[in-house]
Amino acid sequence: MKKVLVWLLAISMIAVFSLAGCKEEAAEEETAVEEEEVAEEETTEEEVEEVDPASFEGTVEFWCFATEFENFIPKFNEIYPNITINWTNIPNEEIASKLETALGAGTGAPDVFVGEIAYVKKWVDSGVWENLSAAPYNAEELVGDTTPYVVDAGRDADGNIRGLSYQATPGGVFYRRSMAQEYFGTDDPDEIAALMSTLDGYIDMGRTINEESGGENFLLPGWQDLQWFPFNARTNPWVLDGQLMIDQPILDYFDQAKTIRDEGLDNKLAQWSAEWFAGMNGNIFSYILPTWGLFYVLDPTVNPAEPEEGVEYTSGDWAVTGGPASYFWGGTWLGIYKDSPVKDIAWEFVKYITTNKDFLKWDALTYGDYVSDLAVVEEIKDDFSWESLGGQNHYAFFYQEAPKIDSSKITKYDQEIQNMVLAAITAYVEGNLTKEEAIEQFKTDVQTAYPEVSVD
Amino acid sequence: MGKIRLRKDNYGYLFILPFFLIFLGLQIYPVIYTLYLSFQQYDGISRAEFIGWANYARLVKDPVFLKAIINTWRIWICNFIPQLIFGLGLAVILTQVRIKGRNFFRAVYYLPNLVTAASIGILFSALLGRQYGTINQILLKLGIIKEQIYFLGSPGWSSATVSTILWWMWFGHSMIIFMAGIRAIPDQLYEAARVDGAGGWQSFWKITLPLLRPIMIYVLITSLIGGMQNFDIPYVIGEGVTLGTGEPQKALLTMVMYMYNTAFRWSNRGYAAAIAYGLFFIIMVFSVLIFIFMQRRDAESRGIKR
Amino acid sequence: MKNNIFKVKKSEKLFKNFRINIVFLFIFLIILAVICYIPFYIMIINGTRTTTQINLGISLLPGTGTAENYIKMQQSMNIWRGFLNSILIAVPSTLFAGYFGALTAYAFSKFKFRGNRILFWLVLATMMIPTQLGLVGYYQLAGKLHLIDTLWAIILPAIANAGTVFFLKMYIDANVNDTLLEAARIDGSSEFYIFNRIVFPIITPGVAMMSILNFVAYWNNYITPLALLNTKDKFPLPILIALVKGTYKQNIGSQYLAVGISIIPIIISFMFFSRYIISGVAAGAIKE
Repeated sequence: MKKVLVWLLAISMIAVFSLAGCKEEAAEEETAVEEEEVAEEETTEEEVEEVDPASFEGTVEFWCFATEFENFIPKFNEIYPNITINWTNIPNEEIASKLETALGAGTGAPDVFVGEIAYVKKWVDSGVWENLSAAPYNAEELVGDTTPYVVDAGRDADGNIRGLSYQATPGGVFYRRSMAQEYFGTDDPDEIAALMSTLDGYIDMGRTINEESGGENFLLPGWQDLQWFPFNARTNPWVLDGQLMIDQPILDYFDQAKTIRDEGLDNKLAQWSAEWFAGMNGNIFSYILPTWGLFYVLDPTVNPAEPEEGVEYTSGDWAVTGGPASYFWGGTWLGIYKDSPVKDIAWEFVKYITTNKDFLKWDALTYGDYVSDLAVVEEIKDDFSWESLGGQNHYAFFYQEAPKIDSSKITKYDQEIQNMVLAAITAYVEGNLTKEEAIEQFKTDVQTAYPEVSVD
Repeated sequence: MGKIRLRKDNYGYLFILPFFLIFLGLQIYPVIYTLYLSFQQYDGISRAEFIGWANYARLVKDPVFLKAIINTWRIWICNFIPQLIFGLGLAVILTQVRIKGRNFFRAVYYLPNLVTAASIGILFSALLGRQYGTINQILLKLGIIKEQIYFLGSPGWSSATVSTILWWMWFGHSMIIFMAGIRAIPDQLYEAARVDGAGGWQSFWKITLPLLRPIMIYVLITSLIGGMQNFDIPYVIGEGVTLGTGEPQKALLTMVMYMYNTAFRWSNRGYAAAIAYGLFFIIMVFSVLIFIFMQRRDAESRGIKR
Repeated sequence: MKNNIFKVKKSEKLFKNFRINIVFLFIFLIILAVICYIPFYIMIINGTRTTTQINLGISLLPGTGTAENYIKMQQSMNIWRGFLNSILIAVPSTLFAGYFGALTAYAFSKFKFRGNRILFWLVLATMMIPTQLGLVGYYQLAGKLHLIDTLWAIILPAIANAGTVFFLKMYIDANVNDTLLEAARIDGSSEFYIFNRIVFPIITPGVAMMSILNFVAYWNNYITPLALLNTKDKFPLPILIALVKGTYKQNIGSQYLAVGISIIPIIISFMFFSRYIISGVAAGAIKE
């Protein structure tokens, strides 16, 4: 009880002081923000105009794996010179367990920390993140232009926003123009999209490639790359009311994978293996990748800074288009620790990085990142022309895709359950198990990991 | 100096004091905390709930844990036996056979032990790649195989691969320990044997091996403990989505990997703690058995010693 | 000193009459050396290649990416700072583990105090608890002792290194003669003098051997510092190496370079410590 009182006192004092502080030196910072904010709703306008960012002081402990914060934090400090962001960079594979250790022990946890798509629901659902829909944050008023699926992914079961993101990560199918020209007589993204509008159509393309190349070229590096389409075609979340849901698209995926392998439509490459990367300059027709896949996976491989002799790079020979379904892959959300002593300045940081239009525009224009704010994207989307894609405007494509995505089916189980499904399909495709046995293995795996989930 | 005269044997307490201060302070607490956790239902973040013996009840009936036990033993035995043979053989060769470049060999054999697990993961995924991996390319060119081997695809191959990597990493380590042990054997014994007309092999069986027994117990027990806690190589050797899951068909799922996944991937700290104690129990039983067995043998053959 | 006769022998014990064909043996040793060295070599070569080059397959020739890798590596971290941190952790840890380990092992080996065996078994038993899980408890404890985010949190546990105690007890059992200790006591030497001046020199090869293994382990220790350190300026090399790769695996070349650089001190320390282990053998070889 005493603790709660102290908190209430502290928060109200902070509120009073920050309001008092801003009244004195209000008008300065407006100029930069103004033009964007005019179009905004009145409520937010009021706040932005009244508070002087320089009046916020303090240090925010921040744990994150994303290297872009190297650039984000200095930019933030241009506006908020008196907030120090103490960024601890932790490898993505480890950050969830490190955070759990600190959160579980109740000491040493940071004020702001990150949730990647694989574990964002863990923070959102367990309530370790502050409810941002509530006062004094009122995040609902700030997300009007944010890509809806991105906001939804950060909502808890009661619909409260607990995490926000600066990026959206819709995906598409990246394909080789020269091969498309050779096998399908066109490299136009719309015409290719029409061919691959269903999974069967897409697999048929693989058959054409296989026949006409005499088995030299392949539709996909491996059948696993196909996963986002069946995963997004599900109608139920993986776990609904404590029950594992295996939808028809997943059962079909077993057969599709088998077909792809048996008919020689993929090159048997494991995702993220060295040979998987090398296939981009080789005999693979298409890769299924999201926004970041273009910047961090495709580009460095087909258009490297230090080319190797004797390799024909395929930069410029690529294009991106829509596949059998719209999907997103990955993403990074920020939230505030519920017991943080500096929630007010932590909120300024999260708010700035995830919703400030100037900032997001700067990020998009400087680094080519695909940002979450649809208004910003709309404003700049026509000015992009990407080298490795033969001058295609990828931004316009992702802009079309992003609103089609539905993130309401995300659960905290997704990453693990999807890996288990892929392992089961692998066993079936490699001939180690029959389809029934493989499905049985999948159920057993889910049961082992999550005894609370019913699998029958 | 007017110091209190301790009885001689009580100096033992004084000598182990610093060790035990840190030991009790920093190591016992985590062990007890783990025990406490094993009676809880706890996801790592929210409140823990006491559930009595439920985690242990589940453990003794858990077919996955049984599978993990078998896997762990299989991987350990398949790497320990060749590791022991190579380690001991090389230690003898490099200390007792006059051969050029002994220092060089000793250093090179130890090198694989310096490579961290993360690098091993990247390195071997390139070596073992299914379509264009170096090893498959070489075997194809030499005409030894007609179709690429999927090293990480079938339970048998992947388990053999992991054992081989572990052997590669650890035989140099055992070799060094055995070398230190052989170095400590008094030369006079060998001299005497030579005078008696014993050959190299005879000296090996009659002097080196019996006198290495304490070192052998050490190597056996530490290797058992390390082998039962085997985690990082099977964890990093998977590719893409199978990384750390113990696939194919859980052939690479070791006990600690199961524990780790339970604790951190599936957020079930309580059950993970129970697995840790199950693991502890297994290692304990076998360590005691080895110890008793070796000491009995030791007592029987004490005549040789000194 | 009077204990010369008991010192671990310095002379050679080569046997000319091992009936092994030296040529075959030599070829076998060379092949084994190649198997051990090649992956290691590839790793160092990969440090000079760009990520793209690495993804194109294995090469035995250096690539063109050294400068690029170095720049990328230094962008995401200060490897020399990490170097310093690793030294600040590994050196005191190794020394603590070696000295206190020897002291404890000596007590277990040569003093028949009550509870000797039980305490020794207790030490052995803790080796059997996997670190990954004890870590959560240790983190809580470190939080209470205000050790989180300090190097001490990583170094202090080295004083209680159970593996070292176990090995050195075996080593002392086998190599330190009771009559020698009695002789020293009759001469009026204090117990500490006996340990520091008589026992320790005898077991130096064992301590040196253990120190090599410990140094490597402390140098490569990843899990504990990862859980307990929060400030970038305190991170040792393994964490920085994991960080350099980046979220999307775009900097594998830099990671290899960092790994290569981080291995150098281990090799140097290996040379340094292994001198103690084999000095006798080497001296004998020169003598012949």
